[in-house]
Amino acid sequence: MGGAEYYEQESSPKRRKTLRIMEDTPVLLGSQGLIKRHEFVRIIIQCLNSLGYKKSASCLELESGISYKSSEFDMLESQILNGNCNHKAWVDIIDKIKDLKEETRASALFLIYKQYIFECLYNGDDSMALKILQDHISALSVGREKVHKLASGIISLKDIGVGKKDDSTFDELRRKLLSELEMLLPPPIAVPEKRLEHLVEMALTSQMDSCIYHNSSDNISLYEDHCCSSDQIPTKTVQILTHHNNEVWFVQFSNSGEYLASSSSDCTAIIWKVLEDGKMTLKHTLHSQKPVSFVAWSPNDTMLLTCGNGEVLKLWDVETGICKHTFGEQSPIVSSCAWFPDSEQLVCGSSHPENCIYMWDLDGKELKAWKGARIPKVLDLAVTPDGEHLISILSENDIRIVNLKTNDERVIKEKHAITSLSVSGDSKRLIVNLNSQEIHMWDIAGPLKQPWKYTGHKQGKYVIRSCFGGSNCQFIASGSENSQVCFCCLVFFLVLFCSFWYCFAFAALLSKVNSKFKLQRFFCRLHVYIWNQRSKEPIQVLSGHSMTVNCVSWNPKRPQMLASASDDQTIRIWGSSRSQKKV
Amino acid sequence: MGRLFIQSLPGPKIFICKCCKVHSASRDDVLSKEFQGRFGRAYLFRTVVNISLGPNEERHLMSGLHIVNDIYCSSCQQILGWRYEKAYEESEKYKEGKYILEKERMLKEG
Repeated sequence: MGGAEYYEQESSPKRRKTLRIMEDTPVLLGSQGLIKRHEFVRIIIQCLNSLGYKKSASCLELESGISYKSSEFDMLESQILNGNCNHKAWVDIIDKIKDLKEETRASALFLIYKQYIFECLYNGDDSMALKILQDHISALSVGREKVHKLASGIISLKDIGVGKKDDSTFDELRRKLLSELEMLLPPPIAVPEKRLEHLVEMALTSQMDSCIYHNSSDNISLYEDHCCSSDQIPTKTVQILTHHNNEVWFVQFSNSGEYLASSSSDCTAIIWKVLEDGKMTLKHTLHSQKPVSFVAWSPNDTMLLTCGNGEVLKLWDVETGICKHTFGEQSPIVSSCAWFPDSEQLVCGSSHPENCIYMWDLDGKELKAWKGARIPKVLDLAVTPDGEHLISILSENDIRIVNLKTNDERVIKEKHAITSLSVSGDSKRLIVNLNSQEIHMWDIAGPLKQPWKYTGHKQGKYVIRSCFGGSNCQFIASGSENSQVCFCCLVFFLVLFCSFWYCFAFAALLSKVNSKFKLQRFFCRLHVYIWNQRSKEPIQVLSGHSMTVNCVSWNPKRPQMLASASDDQTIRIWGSSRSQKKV
Repeated sequence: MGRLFIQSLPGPKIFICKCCKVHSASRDDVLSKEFQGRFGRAYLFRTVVNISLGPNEERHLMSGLHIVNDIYCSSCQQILGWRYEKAYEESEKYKEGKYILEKERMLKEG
């Protein structure tokens, strides 16, 4: 800035004169007149400085007549950096600032006195240093800890011996003091650092928050208001897998997103490989004695557990497809299981021969078993990916969250029966499907007040599962059941066939009824529902299956790939309309 | 058809479906034992589990005109009784939302 003149920020005769000169330039900017010109220019100057364009910054100061540094701060800076030892002048400047909060004033004065003390020590003036400590610092209302830390700092300095006493150290320390004061003092004395970047990011975050289809971390441009279209989420069937011979009850992608496991009432589980272009090929078929209703990938994706619905717990190797182990001497029937993050231990819940929770290691050694009359029936189990919480669904509509480190236990009581549980990939939230056709989302760590609720799907008799998905676990997908309305449409069609020459009248009636009740939707298509975490109603409904959709799984590494398993013996892979065009 | 979601009831005294033995209702939820069903005695329950509802029907019962839904056991599809959806007379309003289970279709356990 050199010797250029600078203008004061507050309204003063000088400023008003400057304003009259620049009369045609407005003071308030923006389409709603919310932006004050001098504030705006000041943060632009700050931004130019932080980007490294110092010449442009000073040009702007000259041209606009607005200086980045406020007059008080300028005075402070010149006093501190000019090398003299007039510390009283610094204190005076701080004291002269109006509207300073007591706390801030005390902290600023503390910093100044601290510098004063250290300089006295460097000069060898110990008694002066002590005097300042006693008189001034103790009079300030800063925390006792700070004072004690300062005192011990002084003593340690004395011990080390203040040898290196040269100007460069002084300069450094004084510059450090100046930047600390700049961060401490409030606007308009000093502007908070990186203010313009902060404001722009606030605007971008708010746009991203209101974008319901937002599903990737790129795509944000400053040139346009951000709003994703529905081609960010899966909307179309990309592939139908028909290898199962009976109802498919469970699907899950592996943690790396490279494999898909599915299990069915035809007593098999199938491991599929996800190819580069997004298509699936069959890798292994794992045969069991009884229908398999649950699979769990190990966190390192090398092993798979299968169990459920009358079948015991088995461990399979993913590469070879061989069953490595069958757990439990009495072959308990296991309803669901979960891995611990080290891929070495697993936990599962059983209800035959008795209600029990087992914890095993990979060799089949029983590490822990919770048995007895007081153990309730465990319907579903999950361990959060970070290994901190074990969540179980107990028979009386209870969600029990145990913190594995502290052994803290919390129980959430739901009013209706819970059919399934799913945990988000970031270990922060869980969702449960309820019999009452709602999905509830709870925060695992946070206060358990009210859940987020999602409706729109149909559920009543069957176990329907849901899952989290998307690049940031911001979506929830769920399967759904047949609805009762089906009967009515069948009757309509029967009548239609029987009385063919009345077909015109019936067709007219049917189309009227069709548009009124959307019967076509119910008649032959069952849906997968997708919600955005913030929306109570579904943002997308995927149709295609012809029978109950039992389970869904979202690929953790491909935010636009979704798999669904249905009673119609197929697994459907869904993709976005963008990926369709590529293929 | 998918995996049936079967709830189990706590408490020692429960009613179960005669055919498939799934739990239907708890004896603590009995509101009245003085009802007549299609097959004889029937009990009025506050809440039942493991049932599916049929469509709404208007029926003339001994106590007057009502809208009822037949209820079926969700695992074996046996008709177990009905549910009162709406009662037209004031004195019968207390039954709305409650369930009737036929004694003939039940077994007592515990």
